[in-house]
Amino acid sequence: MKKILIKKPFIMSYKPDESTWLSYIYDELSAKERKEVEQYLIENEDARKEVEELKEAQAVLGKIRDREVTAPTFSFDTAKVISMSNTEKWWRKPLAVAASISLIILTGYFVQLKISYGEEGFSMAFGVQQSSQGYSESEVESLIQKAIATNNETFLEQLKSSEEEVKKLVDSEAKKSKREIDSYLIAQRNQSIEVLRGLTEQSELAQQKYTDDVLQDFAIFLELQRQDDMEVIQARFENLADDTQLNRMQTNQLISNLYSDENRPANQY
Amino acid sequence: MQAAQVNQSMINTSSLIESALAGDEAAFNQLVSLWYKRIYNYSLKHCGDEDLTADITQRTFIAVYRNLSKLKEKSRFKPWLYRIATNFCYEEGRRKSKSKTVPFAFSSNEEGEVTMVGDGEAKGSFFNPEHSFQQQELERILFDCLGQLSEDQRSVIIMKEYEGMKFHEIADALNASENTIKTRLYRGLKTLKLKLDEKNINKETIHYEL
Repeated sequence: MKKILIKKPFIMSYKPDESTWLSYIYDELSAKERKEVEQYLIENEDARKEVEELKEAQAVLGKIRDREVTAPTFSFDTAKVISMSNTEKWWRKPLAVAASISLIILTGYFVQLKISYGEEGFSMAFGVQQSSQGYSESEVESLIQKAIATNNETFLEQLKSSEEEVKKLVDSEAKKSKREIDSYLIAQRNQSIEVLRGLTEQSELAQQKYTDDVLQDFAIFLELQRQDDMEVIQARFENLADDTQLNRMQTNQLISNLYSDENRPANQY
Repeated sequence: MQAAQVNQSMINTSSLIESALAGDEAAFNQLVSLWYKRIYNYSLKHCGDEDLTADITQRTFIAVYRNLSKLKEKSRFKPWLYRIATNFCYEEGRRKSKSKTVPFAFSSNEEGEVTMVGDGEAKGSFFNPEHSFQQQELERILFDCLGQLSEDQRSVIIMKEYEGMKFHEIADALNASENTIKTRLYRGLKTLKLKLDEKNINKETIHYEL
């Protein structure tokens, strides 16, 4: 080790930077650079620890698995995703703005806000302007009632129109979704048919192959059986031949016995 | 496998962009299906909420459709796509942090049971029945740790670690120099290691958990 250090003194001054460490752990260094870094690691324990830490963080991160997702279908006509999510979002903002404006107007109306700018300067006043004769309490009350009634009416009308608008939007979205679901179902059905057809074809092929195999096996079995039978018949024939031979010999024996008996001298009895 | 998929995507992407620009709806949808899963998983690691992620991913591809003609070099589609997705993720992140009132809160569910909700903890929609409880728990902690990083560091880590992007591609996507990207990645990984140590997550405990 010492020898190497003396021969290559530059190794002592070489110190990889952050960028080099990263390239090292992501395996993006040239062979020469890699060798230098590895040499440095051998000699430098702190650096080794540092790299180990980075690698460990990497290893732990690797434990997150990818989620499996299916991409939705996009349509050019609407430049929108065919999906039900977040379709209601776009109209909420204008509606909120409209509601805020009407609220400000209503509040202004209720509190009788008056803003004037004249020679006396800028002035802002709330409430009913006092006239010379003034209003009686009941008159004020009736005025307020009237104002409330008018406001309620306007508000209800606004609410109604908003409701209708929302309903229309929901209807159109629902129709669109239904169309998409239908087309999706048709696509799914076609796909299923295709899959089923493929399966049927495969199963037919398998069945045919199986039948062929069975027939072949049966033919072999028959052939073997035939050979066995033939051997048995052959054996029987051989037995028969043996028997015949034996019979012939016995017959010959008998005949020769008879013949010798016939030719025996009579005096022997 | 993942890298192979990405390479395959690169081969087809250019021709699909040409066809989509010429008005071929099927080509555009094919382009979407090539990149949908990547963008979905990229965004999920940014915000840790599956509903929000689905929304971000859809908005990303609508933006892609609307701005595809502005993309000058077709070969830069990948960084460009990730830049759009990143912007939507940042936007959602800011919206989320604005609406968040108490960082560590008690919330009650419909039955009135009071449960404790930690800062950045994953929501119910995070549940995936395919994964074991330990895997889900580990992922929840990792998402939580990622969520505690700065947006810039998080983007770089996800792009490098999970999307396998080259440094120059990340630099292009995030509109920064390669050196800046490397610095962010280095600091991000260091910070992440500290966060993981705090939660006692390391090589040994992972093996024990799984």
